[in-house]
Amino acid sequence: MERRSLALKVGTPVAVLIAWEVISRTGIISPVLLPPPSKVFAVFVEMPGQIAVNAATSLYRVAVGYSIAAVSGVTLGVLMGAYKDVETALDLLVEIIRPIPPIAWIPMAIVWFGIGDASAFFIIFIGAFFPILLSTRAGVKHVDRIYIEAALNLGADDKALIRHVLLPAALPEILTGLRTGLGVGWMCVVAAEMIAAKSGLGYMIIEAQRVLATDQVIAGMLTIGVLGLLMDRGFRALEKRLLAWM
Amino acid sequence: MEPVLEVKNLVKSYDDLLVLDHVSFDVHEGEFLAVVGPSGCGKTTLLRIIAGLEDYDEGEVLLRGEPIEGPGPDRAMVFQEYAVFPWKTVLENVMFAPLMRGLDPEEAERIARKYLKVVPGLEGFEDEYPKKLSGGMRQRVAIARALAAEPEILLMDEPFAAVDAQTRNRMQEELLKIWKETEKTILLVTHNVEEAVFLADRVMVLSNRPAKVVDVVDIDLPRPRDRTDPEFVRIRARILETLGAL
Ligand SMILES: Nc1ncnc2c1ncn2[C@@H]1O[C@H](COP(=O)(O)OP(=O)(O)O)[C@@H](O)[C@H]1O
Ligand SMILES: [Mg+2]
Repeated sequence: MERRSLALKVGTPVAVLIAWEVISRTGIISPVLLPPPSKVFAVFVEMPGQIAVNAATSLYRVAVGYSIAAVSGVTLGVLMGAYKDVETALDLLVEIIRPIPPIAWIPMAIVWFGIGDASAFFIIFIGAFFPILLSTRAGVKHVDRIYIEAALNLGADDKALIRHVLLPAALPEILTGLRTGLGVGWMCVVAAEMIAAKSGLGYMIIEAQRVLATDQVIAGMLTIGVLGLLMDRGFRALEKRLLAWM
Repeated sequence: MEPVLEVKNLVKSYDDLLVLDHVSFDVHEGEFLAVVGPSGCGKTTLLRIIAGLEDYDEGEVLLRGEPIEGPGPDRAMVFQEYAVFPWKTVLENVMFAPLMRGLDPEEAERIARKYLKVVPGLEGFEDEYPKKLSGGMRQRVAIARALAAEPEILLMDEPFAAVDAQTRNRMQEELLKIWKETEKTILLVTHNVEEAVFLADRVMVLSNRPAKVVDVVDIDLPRPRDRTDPEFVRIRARILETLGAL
């Protein structure tokens, strides 16, 4: 069974690669439109430095924009979940801004922050902020009253209640929000770099497309996919450790 | 001597539902008072009011002569549901009240370890999360956690209702040992008449909802008490009769 599932898991991608190689090599589809995987992988060998630098740039932008979103999203989410007045005051605003896709902010981001890092930080922040905010708020609202009452009974004030009860009790939902936000942030950096930056993986693939270097485009896409997967896996491992009590 | 707790003419209703109808009683220094009453009569409501977790319509609740104001560790409570914090280890749970009192972590840990010794069976489990513990063990942690608040009066809401009969008997004996050792004043609520007679100095009997005090029985039997002793059986029968006649 173990072997069987491994064969299935690896077998499908390998079959797709082989079919893709054949289709492209035999010219069923022009190699310009669909470069064979061998050519795509060759890109990693020919220009590893360029890919690494652009990947590092994108990761750096996500790290900054996402950190701001994480801190502000968790803070506001806790306050909205814990205090009815804060929720009432912010709810409508959140509901109006939330449905605007992060991509739709790019034009204003360019006007405000110009082309470069700051615009990318902003777009990533917008994308990651809302999933984090909403999960945190929901998590805090779902905290069982019994724990809040036990804490009050034992002498907790508001600050202690947030730190010792609301945050840890809501942590499973907060982490889900943070993981979703990271995924959205990673998508946003690519979009932002295609329009509002002159570096990064998004910029790299849009530039390669301009000169029809489709092998580089697909190599960039694969890099984005693999890095996204690694971040998600890393995050899940972290979640498992932080939630050992569950 | 002034009672630790005085409850005078307490009246409480939820909307149109009258739950407590002029309930009055005192609890004296070092006394073990058990309150028995049918399920749904208002026992939990009474304890929650004393704990400051619920407001009331009329009457007075005085702790050492002073009206209570909101919840506080001077009236630490063991809840009927398992209310130990699942995200904290046993030791961290018991450190909670000392930390809330403003003690530094070393001092809080010293106090927590002291009460972890007072409650039998917890040694060796200090670093476990509650999910690993049985219901009885969780309730032992809850007792240690409440004791570590060093309350004027320990409030207990059917603490052994959810554990099996054998464990319940053992935990009742443990509670008597704890009571003797710490000289705490205890107010315990239960619907189990045998439990009340086994544990308490006095048993207060409440009527069906709305709860009124219908009897107060002094239990002068020496401890440890024998549940099959004729006098024990007679007292138990008398209380059951009072309850049955309601
Ligand atoms: N928050 C509440 N709102 C409305 N009714 C309540 C509430 N809490 C308890 N009650 C009702 O008050 C009565 C007494 O409840 P409770 O004090 O829990 O009884 P007991 O602990 O003796 O079983 C019950 O009829 C219960 O349904
Ligand atoms: Mg109850």
